[in-house]
Amino acid sequence: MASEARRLLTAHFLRRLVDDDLISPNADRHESLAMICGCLASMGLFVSVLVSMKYLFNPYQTPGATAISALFDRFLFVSASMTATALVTLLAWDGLAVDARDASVLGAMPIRTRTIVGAKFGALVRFAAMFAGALNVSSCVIAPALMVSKLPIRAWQLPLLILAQAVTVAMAAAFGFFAVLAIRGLLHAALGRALFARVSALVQATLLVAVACAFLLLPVVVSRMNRVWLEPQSRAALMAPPLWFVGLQEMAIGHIIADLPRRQMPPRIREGEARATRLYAGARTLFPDLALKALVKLTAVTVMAVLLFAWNNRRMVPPPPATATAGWIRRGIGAAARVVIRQPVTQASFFFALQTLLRSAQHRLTLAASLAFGLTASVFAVAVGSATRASDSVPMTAGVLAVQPVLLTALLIGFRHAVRVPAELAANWAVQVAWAGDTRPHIAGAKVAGALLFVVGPVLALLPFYAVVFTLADALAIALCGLAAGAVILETLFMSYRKMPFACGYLPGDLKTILPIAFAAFVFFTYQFAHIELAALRSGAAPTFALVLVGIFLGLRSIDAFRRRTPRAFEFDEMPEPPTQRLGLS
Amino acid sequence: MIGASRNGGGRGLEARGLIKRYNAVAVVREVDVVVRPGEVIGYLGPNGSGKTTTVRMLTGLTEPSDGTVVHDGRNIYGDLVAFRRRLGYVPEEAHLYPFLSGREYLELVGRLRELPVTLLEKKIMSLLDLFGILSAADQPISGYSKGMKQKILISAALLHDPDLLILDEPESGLDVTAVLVLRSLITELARRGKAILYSSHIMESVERVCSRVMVLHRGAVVADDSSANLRTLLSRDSLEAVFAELVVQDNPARTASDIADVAAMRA
Repeated sequence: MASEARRLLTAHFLRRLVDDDLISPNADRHESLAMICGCLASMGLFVSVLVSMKYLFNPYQTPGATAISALFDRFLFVSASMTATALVTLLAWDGLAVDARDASVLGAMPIRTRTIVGAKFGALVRFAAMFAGALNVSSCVIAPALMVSKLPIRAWQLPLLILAQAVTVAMAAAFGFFAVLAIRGLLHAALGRALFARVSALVQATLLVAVACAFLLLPVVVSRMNRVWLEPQSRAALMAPPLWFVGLQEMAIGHIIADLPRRQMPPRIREGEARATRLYAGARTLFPDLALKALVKLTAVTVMAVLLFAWNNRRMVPPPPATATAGWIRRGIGAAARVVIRQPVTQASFFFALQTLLRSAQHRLTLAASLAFGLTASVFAVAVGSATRASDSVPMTAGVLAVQPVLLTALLIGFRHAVRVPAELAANWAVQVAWAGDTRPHIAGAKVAGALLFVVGPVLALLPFYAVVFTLADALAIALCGLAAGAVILETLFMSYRKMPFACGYLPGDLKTILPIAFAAFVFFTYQFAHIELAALRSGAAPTFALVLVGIFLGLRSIDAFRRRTPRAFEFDEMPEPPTQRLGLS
Repeated sequence: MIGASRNGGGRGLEARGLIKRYNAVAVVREVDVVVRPGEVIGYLGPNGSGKTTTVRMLTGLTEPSDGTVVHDGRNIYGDLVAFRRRLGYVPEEAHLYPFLSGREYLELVGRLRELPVTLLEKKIMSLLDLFGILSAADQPISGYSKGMKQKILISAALLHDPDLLILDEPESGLDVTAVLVLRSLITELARRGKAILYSSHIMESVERVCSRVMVLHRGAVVADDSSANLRTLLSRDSLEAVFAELVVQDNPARTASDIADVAAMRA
């Protein structure tokens, strides 16, 4: 009886975790799920083949060099598995405990609380396992197979390599999952239900930005790590959790590759092979410690997460009473906004945009993801820009200047996406009934909110940074250019937007086509902008540059106003194309 | 702006031959609805009879498969926006933005309806106070009870002083005092010339506040007259009995007994 209830509840909770009918009345949960899993699987496949190229096209593949190179590949796979699973778990943050709805519906049922909690836990494990499996399934088979395809290994050794890789990445994924669960549980237990409810969104967004940055920076980390961590004196590097699992994998496969017999090879290759063999022999002493650490830490974090989950969900209690917003803040912002924005509908849209962006979990996640992307791209920009300008006598580099446009563009793209997602699908009727037939004031209000949060905010936040790195005068000039550039980007992004911000059903577009184009445009624009800005700052023409940008902004506004001179009809809840057309079968 | 319709001089709402089909199945068939200024029309029907579909067609949220909806002599689909400026609507389900407070929600609706700020603030405070939820005005709606949400919906529908009110189950979740206030409010609004369509399951309310009653059954109107005339015509002493006569096919007592038998079944 209890096991049947647990099975049903697990399926129910799992369905809830992957539910996406909150953003479109026509959403197909299975389609979205298949798309996400497909993206992860193809990413795993792509990376596997990419990292295997160096083995496939190496005419003198040797065991020692391969053993060293394999360590970095394993670091990449283990880190990706760990961070991707942690990311997915963070995205389901609010569903990581028995929530108020579960408590109100299931609390009245004759089911033991531990059955409900067990089912919830089971659903969470399956949820994380599903995504970790999709990401790792191809890499577990393809990467080891391609790596040893030209080496004289025995028949039983390849399955062992595959199995070891599968177990290690699964354990790394488990570590990522349980670490997030443990952090959440620890905060919940320490702060109590009411206080945790207040800080939960902020913690989620912060962790999301941190883990997303770590995930996106993986290629840089792998390439920059070089062989430093293999040196005996660099034990500080061993604090990185992915390295524990790399060590575990090495212990599990018993140094199969490094111990393979050496064949005849040219002198130059032989020298390199001897160096690699010595390096690996030195690193061998680290692996037992790393493996032990992996097992101990994984066990500890799992036990901690399970115990905290059980403790925090020991009673089915209703949610704490909602707290009122501070009246003086609301009144202050309201009065200031009314001075700047005169039209009531634009005011309505402005406030609604602010409230949705700051309070809706779905929108906060979108913005956290775009902030993570922006920060990662900024790190790339600084690294690439500094490297190419290292010999420059002027300390100001395009890389450092690119931080501002990169961050602004990433945030504004995230904002542009967020306005398409409804604040609350079921409540759209209220805006629909009160709509006066013209979307222009609505879009204008949303754009003002976007400009305030994602142009003025970041520019002001970066002002002290630029003032410290350069001079205050330079920083002010950069801020001026940033404000003008932000206005241009915002205007450009909204040129094609014809719907009601935050109040229409959301249908994802053709991401396969849009994403590469958007990424190429992003890289091109930000780097070109940084170089032009650098030239303007050096020649003292930054105010002129800012004026040119303001001119472009005004031009774009005029074009936009002309294109929108007559209000156009649109569907609040657009129907998706039939599946046959989406699959190109028509 | 106080036009002819504000004084009760308009022609009200007229829907003729409304039909709604989903996948070729008609859920509303040839329904005529006429609501004149100063009238309160009760719209009754069992679950699944097509009440809410009709109401959504009358508000313009769902387009009819056939038929016309005319307000003050103009087809509402010709200028839906102008029609909605004069419409107040309380939907059946209290779907609101959960992360907004009650005050913020009313501010959003009021601003979208382009009400002057000072007037809007005054109206919001007064409505919240009169409905007894002023103390919860700044709490998120996610923490509201069903009755509090319903009061917010009713307040939002009244903010812009509409000529036409369409109320779909407005008493849902309200306590006894609030129900009594709502009934008096509807009577008062009708006295001031508003045209009101009142869809409800609660016979007592309909009988008390409505000047005319329409009964819908399986998508078609089976009665349209004053409550008193219907009672006389069908020789019944209450609207509930009239409704039972027109709509209820089975013997309720027998059905209740059958349900109790099913509940008592053992393996």
